[in-house]
Amino acid sequence: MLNRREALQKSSVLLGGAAAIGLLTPLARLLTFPLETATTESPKGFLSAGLSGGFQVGAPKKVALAGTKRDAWATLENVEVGSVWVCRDSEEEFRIYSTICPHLGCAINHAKDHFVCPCHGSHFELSGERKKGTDGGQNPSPRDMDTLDWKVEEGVLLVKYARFKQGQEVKEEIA
Amino acid sequence: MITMITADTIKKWLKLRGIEVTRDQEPKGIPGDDLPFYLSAFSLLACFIIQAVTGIFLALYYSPSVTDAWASVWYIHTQVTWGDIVRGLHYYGASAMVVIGVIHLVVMFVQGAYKSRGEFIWFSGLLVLFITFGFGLTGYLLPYDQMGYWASQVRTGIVGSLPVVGDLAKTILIGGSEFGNLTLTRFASLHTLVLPALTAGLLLFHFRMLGHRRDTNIISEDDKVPAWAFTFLKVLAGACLVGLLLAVALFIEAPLEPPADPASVYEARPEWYFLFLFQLLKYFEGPMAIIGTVILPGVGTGFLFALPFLDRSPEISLKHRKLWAAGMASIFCFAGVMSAVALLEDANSEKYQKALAAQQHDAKEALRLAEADGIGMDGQVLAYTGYKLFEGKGCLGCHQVKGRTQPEEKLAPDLDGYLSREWFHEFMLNPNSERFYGGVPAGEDTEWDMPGFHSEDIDIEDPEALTAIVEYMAAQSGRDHNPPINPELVEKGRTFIEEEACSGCHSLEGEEMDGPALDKYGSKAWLEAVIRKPHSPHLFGDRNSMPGFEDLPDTDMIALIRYIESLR
Repeated sequence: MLNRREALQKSSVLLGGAAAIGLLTPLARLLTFPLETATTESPKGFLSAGLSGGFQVGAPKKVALAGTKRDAWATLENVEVGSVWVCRDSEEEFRIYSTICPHLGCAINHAKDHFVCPCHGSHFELSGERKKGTDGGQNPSPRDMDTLDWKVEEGVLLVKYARFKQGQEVKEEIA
Repeated sequence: MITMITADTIKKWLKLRGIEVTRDQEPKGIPGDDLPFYLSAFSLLACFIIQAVTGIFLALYYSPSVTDAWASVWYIHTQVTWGDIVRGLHYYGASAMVVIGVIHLVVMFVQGAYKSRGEFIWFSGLLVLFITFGFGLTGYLLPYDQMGYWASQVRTGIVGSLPVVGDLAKTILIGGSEFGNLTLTRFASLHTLVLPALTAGLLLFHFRMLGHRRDTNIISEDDKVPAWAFTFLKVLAGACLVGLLLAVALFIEAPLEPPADPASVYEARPEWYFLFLFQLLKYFEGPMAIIGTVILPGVGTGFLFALPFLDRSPEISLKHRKLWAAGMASIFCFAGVMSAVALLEDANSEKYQKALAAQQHDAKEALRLAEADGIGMDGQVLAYTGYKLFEGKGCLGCHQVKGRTQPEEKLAPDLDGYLSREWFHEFMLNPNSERFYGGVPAGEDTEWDMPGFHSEDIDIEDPEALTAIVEYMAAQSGRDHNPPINPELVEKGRTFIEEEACSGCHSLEGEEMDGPALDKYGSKAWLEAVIRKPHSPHLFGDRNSMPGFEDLPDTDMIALIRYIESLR
């Protein structure tokens, strides 16, 4: 048999626990909401990178892509959602690379004959391939530059913009 | 060598570093007489903790700027899982804190807490109550909805009307000469940083002073509430509070009015605990207003703060403190009566009730349209702007839409569900019914005479014809439908329209005929043409009786069309 004191002490723990759970459960949902719902939405489909004639063969050019993006509560119309390196190989052939470094997400730059990320020195061939470390240095990027799908319609280069997980060898699109 | 880590070794490790986790002696109980005092104080603390943690989690989403404040609260309220519950906890928790603060004040008074050198107990408790009002004043604006915006205009207006320092104080408070981003950042900073820090400090001080007073009193063993019983009562009070707030938050949605619109007319009302001040203002006008805004509230506040110096006898029993008890009672009675009069006047005012009903409908539409049409970069719900234009331009005088009062005279087709498959289907069957053109006036020497699909005038036998024509019509607006538009059916519908009965009156290529041209029917361009020039020959021509809005600015036109599209 519990005496009054023990009974009240046990009740205190139970009541306090119940109140804490009652309060913390909805709070926890607010914390984890982005795990269950996409809070941002990038434009689906192809975005214009400009007239295809505006790119020179052999000269990579950085282009910002604009589209309609949802950012939590706001619908942002015609905003820049990211940029890409456009490499033209011939009249009809393009290669498109995301400017986001597969290492930790900095923006990749173009140097004379290669691509380089200014943050931690990831470097890539103009073909987007991960370069072996030069001067005995390491190359922190775990994979080649991320390629993007493209097509030309009515003289306009269209790019399907996407983002990929960083820091891993496998190229995996972020849904 | 491996040392076993036990609770004792951890305690010892901490103790050597100056952190004591074990108590030297059994916790003491409290005097039985002081129980209401402690219990109300702990409830106040519990309430503050609830407000603090719910506030922290709301801050994960809230954004204090003119363009984002309403939108972010809308997001919490409608999109975030259980966001409405957490917002409800915070919203109703504010009221609970006022109620408990007042109860604590009354208990402090009845028990003479400020006696026996307890002045600081009284002051700190009183300040916590006033800061709670401060939380209410600053928090009310944060959603930047109509209610918060207009109520805050009134309040900062009162600050601005103070003699000598008014303008200065108002400019500093709202961060400029008018409401804007800086008003929100200032109010948010006060609400989430300054006031919580002050409250936490004051509550700590309040409890320390309580302890100080307790130590000076001798507790007899007979009249003691043991520590374990006291703990139980504290936990019980906290749990009841959480349970009650959860229940209210679950069943009664915290209000969210439409986004603040400085160009609108709005009948603002304060929170229930400020109603008496709102009522007080009605009795003093012009130069006398200061009596209602500053002098009378100042007298009440002054009395409360001066009480420890006025009521100086050591007597605690109310029998010997009749004068001061009457003073306290008159403050609460005055506030109570004023609040009741304010509520009664509103309840009996037909004008206010009408405005309130319209405001409530606006609030629902703002939430619905933000969901249906999205919120722009400027924080505007464009479709809601269109909804207000639809009302403002007099469209409601003729067109029936969801949730609005039926126009007095039936002058135009209903727009409920307009441009949906269902609308077209019903229209095709009974174009001259009450919902569509029945009773709608036409121009001179004309009438609305389109035959229904099953009437003798229409001779189409294919059972799929009606569905196909409806599909064609629904496809013309160019918008998404659920289920998606079936292109084959659209083509079939086009053939029926072109080759069968409809082509007698309707063209598909914008040509001038008896009835309106049907291609692109309901598209943005088509709607704009109808709103600007409904009497155009390729639209409703001679039959038209709707006024054209040729000069409507483009931005208004876009908003109006977005609203009409949302009726689908």
